[in-house]
Amino acid sequence: MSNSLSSNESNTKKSSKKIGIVMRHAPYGNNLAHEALDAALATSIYGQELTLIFMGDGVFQLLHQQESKAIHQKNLEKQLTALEFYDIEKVFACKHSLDERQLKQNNLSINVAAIETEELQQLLHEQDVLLSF
Amino acid sequence: MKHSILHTVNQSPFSNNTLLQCLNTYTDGDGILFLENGAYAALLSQPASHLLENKTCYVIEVDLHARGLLEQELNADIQLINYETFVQLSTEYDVVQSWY
Repeated sequence: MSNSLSSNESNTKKSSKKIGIVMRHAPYGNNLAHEALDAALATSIYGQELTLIFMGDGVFQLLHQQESKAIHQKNLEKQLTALEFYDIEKVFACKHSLDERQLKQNNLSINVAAIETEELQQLLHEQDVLLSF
Repeated sequence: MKHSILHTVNQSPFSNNTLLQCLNTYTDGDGILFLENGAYAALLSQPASHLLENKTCYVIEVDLHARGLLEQELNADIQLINYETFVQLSTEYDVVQSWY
């Protein structure tokens, strides 16, 4: 009960919430990646503190040179590069997931901060809300 | 401020690493709730069983029941709960993260 009280108090002090959008699925096999980015762009308009976190197969969304036209799907890269125009700058990727898939920063379409597991834990536990895609 | 997270897992630990990803982000004060095919995580025979020691874990009892798992050897550290408790837990923890 004390938890919900304290979170109510902080809500009245500041209206913005820390929202973490967690991307864990590879693109194109389903629509989750697009839905996550739509949610991110929509949320950014409401002045919330937004953080994007890519982990697991979700880091494949960041890979450059995606030619999704070949499978008749909208290109994710364009949406990703639009993030900075929406002032979404807190974009993180799990370093372990990148390493596991041998992805380097120069393989990615946007700049992300690669973070160690401990930082990832900290980041997730800072959020008021987590949206999982 | 550090929030507590209720992690929900609905995938079998025998067929993918969703639970392992979840465990990577688990810290003290968190809880893990197994539901749907996540119920297989309650089996003592599952590959990540030893990693659940000293962690707060719950499983939806009807999901065990439906899969015929109640008669199998289960991990005693995991609490069997019903849907009412699920609702209660999701209000007690600060944040819910679903691993699917």
